[in-house]
Amino acid sequence: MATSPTAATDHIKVGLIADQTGPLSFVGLANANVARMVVDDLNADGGLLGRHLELHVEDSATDDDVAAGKARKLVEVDRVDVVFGGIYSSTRQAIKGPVVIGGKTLYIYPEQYEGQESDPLIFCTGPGPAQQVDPFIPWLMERTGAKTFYLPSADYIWPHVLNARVREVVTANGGTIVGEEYYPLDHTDYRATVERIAGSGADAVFNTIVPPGVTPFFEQLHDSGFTSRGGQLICTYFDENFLNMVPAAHVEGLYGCLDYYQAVDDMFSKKLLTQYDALYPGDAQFTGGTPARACTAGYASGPPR
Amino acid sequence: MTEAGSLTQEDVIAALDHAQIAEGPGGPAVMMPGQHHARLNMYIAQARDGRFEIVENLGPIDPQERLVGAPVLTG
Repeated sequence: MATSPTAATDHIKVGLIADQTGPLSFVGLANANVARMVVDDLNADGGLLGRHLELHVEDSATDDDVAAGKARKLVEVDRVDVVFGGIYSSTRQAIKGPVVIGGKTLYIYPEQYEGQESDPLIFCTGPGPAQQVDPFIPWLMERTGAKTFYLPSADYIWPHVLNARVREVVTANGGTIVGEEYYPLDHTDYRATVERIAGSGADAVFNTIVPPGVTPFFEQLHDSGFTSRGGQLICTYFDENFLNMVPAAHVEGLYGCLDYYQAVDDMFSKKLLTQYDALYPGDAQFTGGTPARACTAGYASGPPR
Repeated sequence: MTEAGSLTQEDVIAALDHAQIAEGPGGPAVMMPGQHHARLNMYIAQARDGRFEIVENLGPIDPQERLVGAPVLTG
């Protein structure tokens, strides 16, 4: 029972749903690494209120049904005190059922997303539309002169809600949406889309296509000459882990807007990045996409650092 | 949780409701009371040769989310 006090000798059980395999594995592996780093740090400091943290990591395989099953296991079998994780908004919704609605357990969602989650048992540590779209779109229109926007999108809740906000902000700033299209997440042939983008004369592509479709889309958009003709490519969720997924030339000049990039150079951010890189060298990097926010949420639970 | 002084779910939620960290990845972060979303430093970055360069530091920005438990407004 989540509301009953834990016995003083009990560990605090922390559950993490991470997409360690499947199209988002490069992010999910980094999330699991960050969770281990934060839990080890907190335990080295004596845990929380004198209690050791015990981490339970489950692989959701970038699949919402798998995520729901693993979430149910964490709550019903492992009886964790809190669940972290989920990247796609559809995965958040899949986790929410067994964890929050069924399990009455605290859930922390660490991804940039469409906003509007307002369950008392859920905390969101990533940015929403007011923090990404509202300041960024007017900045981009001013900086680049872009007036016409095309919105190629994956067909799930995040792109639909975010695009509505993009339309509102672009229109309010004197611009126009010249195309908006939705595709299944694993769609790979975007040649017709790319042709329509060229035909529309769009100054900017605001992309919400996600893995695995985003790799062929960016390749086909690049090959069509969109950016070499001066088109602006925008993708708010892209971080360094996503950059690693595509050839640099395909995304040269791409604009993003997040709460952390590896280039942020305050002392603390640099220290975290150095610590992570020493512990987990390799392709799954410490980035803003989700790992940094899981870290923020974890350290927020502990004593001042 | 340190502030809550207790690990009951009610106390943990009450503490997280206005949790803040003076230092975090990207800068400080502050939970906006009642919203369960955080004020965060935001950055605009641009990909250059396979890396992201910061082109604008937007500073701290509020999430402007509705209060938890409030009814969803449609339409």
